[in-house]
Amino acid sequence: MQTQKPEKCLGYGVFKAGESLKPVEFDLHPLGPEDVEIQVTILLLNDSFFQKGKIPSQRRFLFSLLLLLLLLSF
Amino acid sequence: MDCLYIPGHEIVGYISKVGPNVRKLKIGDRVGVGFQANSCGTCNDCKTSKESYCPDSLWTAGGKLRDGYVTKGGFAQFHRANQNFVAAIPNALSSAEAAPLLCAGITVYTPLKYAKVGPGSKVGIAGIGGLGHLGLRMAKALGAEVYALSTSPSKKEEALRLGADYFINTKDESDLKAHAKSLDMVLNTISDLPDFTFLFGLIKNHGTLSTVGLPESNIQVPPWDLLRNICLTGTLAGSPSETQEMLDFCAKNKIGAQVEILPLEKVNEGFAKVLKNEVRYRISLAVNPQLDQQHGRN
Repeated sequence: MQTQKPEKCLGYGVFKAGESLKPVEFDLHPLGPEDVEIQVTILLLNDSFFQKGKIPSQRRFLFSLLLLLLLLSF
Repeated sequence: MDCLYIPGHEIVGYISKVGPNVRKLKIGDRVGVGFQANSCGTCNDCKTSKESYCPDSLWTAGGKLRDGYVTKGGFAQFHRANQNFVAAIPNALSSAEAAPLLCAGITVYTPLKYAKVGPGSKVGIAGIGGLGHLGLRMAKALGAEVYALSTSPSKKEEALRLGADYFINTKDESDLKAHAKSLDMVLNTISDLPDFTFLFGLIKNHGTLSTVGLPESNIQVPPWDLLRNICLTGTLAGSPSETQEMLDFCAKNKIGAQVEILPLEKVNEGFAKVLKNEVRYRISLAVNPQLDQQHGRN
């Protein structure tokens, strides 16, 4: 089975809450059968998670880590 | 574990690629994406076109797909999304004014729709900001008599320009008394308002208080006002079909968000302005503005 090489994209992002946004290159998710790819022209700046210094994926990661530590402690 | 977070929803752009099963859209179409990238498709909310309430809702930015990929938002050159969560942007709207409608716009449209606001309705919009300025314009376009509710008398002129028929200074007891129990509905867009007492005081018996602004703490409600059959409710944005309906409504009534535009490279400067509350009323980030010219759009 051949694995498709991920397509790269430039954007602005952060790895940790509280950081300033920096230019980053990331992998686009493979285009699914019902997906469209949109070349972005404009978007809203506001992002409530980012403004509140929280990152959803990071929050889940920390929660998972905490859960794992709890399970290991038993 | 991918901890890279690319923020950004309320995205407008042009379709550059389509998957083999995409039937609704084609390359070159101008489209928009709101806060939601997908939903389970099987729960009761999904089956009744209320996808925004799906418990397995996937967020446009920071949502986790089954394969572990964390969805990347629109602060980027490209964005990939499911065709069912992509809306067509009507020709009458510019890309800049359409972008904030995809979340802010739908957030204020659905409560007005659910409350059946129309000609003869008296509607108060509390808070004249990013959400409230759209609420004023939509309520007016629906045919209501519109009341702007604000603690800032300096916003009166702007509120009247945006479509309000009357301005109520909510810090002025005499103003509140003069309009007591007179409104059919109040739509609250203020997020740091934990005490709803004065809002209840403005609503008629059997009226509605819908809030889309949520404080960090619990909300205070005057219990005796609940016995006046006032419905206290809140809505979570809207479904893809409601978003399309809202965009078409806005295009027909020439309602676009009032935006400042910054290039994507100035994103940190933009966030600083938002945090200092210096924005009237939304900032949009131009990622690739030449695309609109290339497609003959504004």
